[in-house]
Amino acid sequence: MPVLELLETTTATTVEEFLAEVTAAIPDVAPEAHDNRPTWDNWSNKK
Amino acid sequence: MDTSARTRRMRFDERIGRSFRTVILQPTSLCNLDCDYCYLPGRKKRYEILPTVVKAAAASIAEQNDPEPVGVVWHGGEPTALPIATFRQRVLAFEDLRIAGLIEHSIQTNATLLTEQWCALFRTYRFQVGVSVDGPEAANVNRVDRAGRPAFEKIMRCIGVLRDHEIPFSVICVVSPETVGDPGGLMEFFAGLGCTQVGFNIEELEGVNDSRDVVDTGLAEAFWAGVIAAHHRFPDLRVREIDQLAAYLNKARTGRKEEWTGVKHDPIPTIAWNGDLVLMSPELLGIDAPEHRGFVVGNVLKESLSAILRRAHDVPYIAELLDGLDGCESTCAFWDFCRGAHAGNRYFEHGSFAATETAHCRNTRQALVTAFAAATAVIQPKEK
Repeated sequence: MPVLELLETTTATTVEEFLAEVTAAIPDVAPEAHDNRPTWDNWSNKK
Repeated sequence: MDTSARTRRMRFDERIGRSFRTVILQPTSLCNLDCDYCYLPGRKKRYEILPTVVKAAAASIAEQNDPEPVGVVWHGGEPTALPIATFRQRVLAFEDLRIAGLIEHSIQTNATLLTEQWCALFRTYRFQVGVSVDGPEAANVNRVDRAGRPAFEKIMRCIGVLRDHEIPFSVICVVSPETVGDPGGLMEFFAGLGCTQVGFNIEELEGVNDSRDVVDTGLAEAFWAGVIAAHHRFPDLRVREIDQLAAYLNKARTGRKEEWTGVKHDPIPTIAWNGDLVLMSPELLGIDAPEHRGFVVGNVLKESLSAILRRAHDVPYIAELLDGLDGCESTCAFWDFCRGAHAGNRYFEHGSFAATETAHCRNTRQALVTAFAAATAVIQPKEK
């Protein structure tokens, strides 16, 4: 199974805990648009 | 409308927005620094954005009339290389829109020219500030002025000015072959710097930066593993890439993947000092590419952004990019998260927007996901 799919489906507590820690600090909103640029901040996903 | 025109239109609308969330402005082409890895051509020339251009940009945002605020990003060159009085005049073109909540200003700066007066301007017009700095002094050897002198001392002094005035700032850090081996040191530096967030850009070959060493993908994976490990030590430091992956996985793991995958690409209109416009990748601005007419798809002095976007599906390089996005979707196991290689990277690495995998895909998207899976024991870490 591809690694991304593994991460999407695993029940490993290590993943749960890490994601809980990170997502507690960022708003759970859908991005307004994917910001297809590598060289500066992803401003539109900051909200 | 003939069939091929209809097909082009439909393919565009499936992937890319006709409206924009962000507008990039080039207040000046000039930069006071001469960083070794810079992709910008023409950064030694001083062209200043025309008053008519900012008025036209503001009029285009008003025409779009989106209830969500559009991000107006002042980029460069170095935006603060524009005299502050001129900069303020240009910003005032957007003031009615800002007061109405229709735009938010951002600026990406090398910080070396920041003063108390700039901080006052940022506060007055509610700028979100992004600073470009690559870590502690030894990590900034590539950030030099025109005479080749290190810029680090100036950068740090001016970050101090931002902090003294309590202006929040995020950071963009270019990770080079020289610094990719020290993720812990970089994280420790940025945690102590007082920034709200750091984004790590692993150095790429772009624009006129076409001959330096590239970062090996194995080293990139080790870099992300180190960033993830250090994240536990510095939980208050937001890391852009970790936040993005966590946001995606949180949706995917709770049955809401469509909230991520259903979102289109921002066309990211990027407006040069003279009103020329490029789409999809700000790094394309100013590039000498006669086969694509320098990627200029229009000029805001002649047409509004919305009018240009209505015909954007007919632009050959964007049609080629749509082929590339189709290729990414059909071949890449990271597509759902990544949504496709960046337009500029495709062109600068492969000479074609129809190309798929780039160094950025490998070193940032794929290496990050793989490092995260190894860090959380979902897969076995690779032998070192």
